Amino acid sequence: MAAILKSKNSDTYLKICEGTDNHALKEIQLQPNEDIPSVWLNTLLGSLDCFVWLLNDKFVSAMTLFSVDYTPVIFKAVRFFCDTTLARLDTMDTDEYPNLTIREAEQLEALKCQVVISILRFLNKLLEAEFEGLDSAFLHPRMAALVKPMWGKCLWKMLSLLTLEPATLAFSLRNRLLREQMLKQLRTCLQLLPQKLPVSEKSKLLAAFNQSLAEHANDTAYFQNISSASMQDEVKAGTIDYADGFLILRETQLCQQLDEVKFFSFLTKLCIMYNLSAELAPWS
Amino acid sequence: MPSEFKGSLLKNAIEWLLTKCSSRIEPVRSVCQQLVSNLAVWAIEGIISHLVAQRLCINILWNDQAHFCIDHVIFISILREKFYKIKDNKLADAATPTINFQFFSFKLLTYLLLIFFRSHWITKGCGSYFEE
Repeated sequence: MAAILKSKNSDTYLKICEGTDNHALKEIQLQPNEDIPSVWLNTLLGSLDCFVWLLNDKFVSAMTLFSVDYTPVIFKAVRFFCDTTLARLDTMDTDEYPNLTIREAEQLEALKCQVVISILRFLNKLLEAEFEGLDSAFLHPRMAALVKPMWGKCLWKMLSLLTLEPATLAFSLRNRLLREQMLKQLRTCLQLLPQKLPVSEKSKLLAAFNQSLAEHANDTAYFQNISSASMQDEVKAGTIDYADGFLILRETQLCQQLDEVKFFSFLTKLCIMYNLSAELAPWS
Repeated sequence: MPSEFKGSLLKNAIEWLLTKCSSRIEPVRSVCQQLVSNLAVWAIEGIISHLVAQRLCINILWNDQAHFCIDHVIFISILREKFYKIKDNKLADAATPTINFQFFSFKLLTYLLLIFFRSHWITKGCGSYFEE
């Protein structure tokens, strides 16, 4: 750390947030079916919080922060988290965490939720950054190249899931506090993304949302399950999720750029579901 | 000025502080970030605007030139007070200030015991003299 203090390069800031030696944020390899260790999740959370703090308090600009030869680990780490979390959703068994007690599993889920919220905060801070007269730092080639490891199908898929199906990523209605924090950050993120992203990435983002809308509009599981009394609560929760997602999309510019046919199909299904559980009146 | 924060220990204090701002332990991280933000503002408060003060002073601190920017005594007192507060809340996972604090406490206790036994011995001695 003494070397850090003497250094006048801007990688000083990176080292403070990504740590050094044993406390450094590092890339990790996982065995098949192995979950992300909570120590690594806490390290990632600490780094994300630190970056948000530096940018939020205007100690350093995003461009200065990342304008060094030292390659930041944070973008790769975010990508790794997204990839692993989504891959786990596809292969998830009925017993999600076989080696953990119920309490430990709940703590791990809460920790992952906090990481997701911090990723959204970090993303928002980067999206708010401007550089050399450009209204988006990502339009600058150097910044775009640095952030590239983070952008990708998985991140956009995660955003669409958080919008339309937050319960799959543990933001259920029972997790009210974390859910509200996430929705607040997500709303800002979806407002900024269509304005600030380069055209190529924006088309990928829209594609991910269109695909999710189509999947949900064609999903007949809700209608099959509605006859079962035990599934009623799940159906109601799903209706609220869809309604919240619809409201968020409507508030942002993203809504106008989505595929009209797919969005209309989704909306039709939402209206049918809303009638089925009218007492909830989620947007009344 | 407390002796344990004299001279080069100022640098050590800042080093220790900055390593905590991305700590895995949320309360430690939060206290560190708040403290650094406050220090940056307090350091040259009233001289220039809030925003410029934050940027300027934090750069100076990280370039190890803090003595050109702020009054050592005030700065060190604040650091000392905050470190001990962290320690008392059992949030600190750092060694340096804790060791200093423990060493300081040990010395204080030793002095108090010495004073107690010395005065006890004198009183008893005098008492026995008067009794005789």
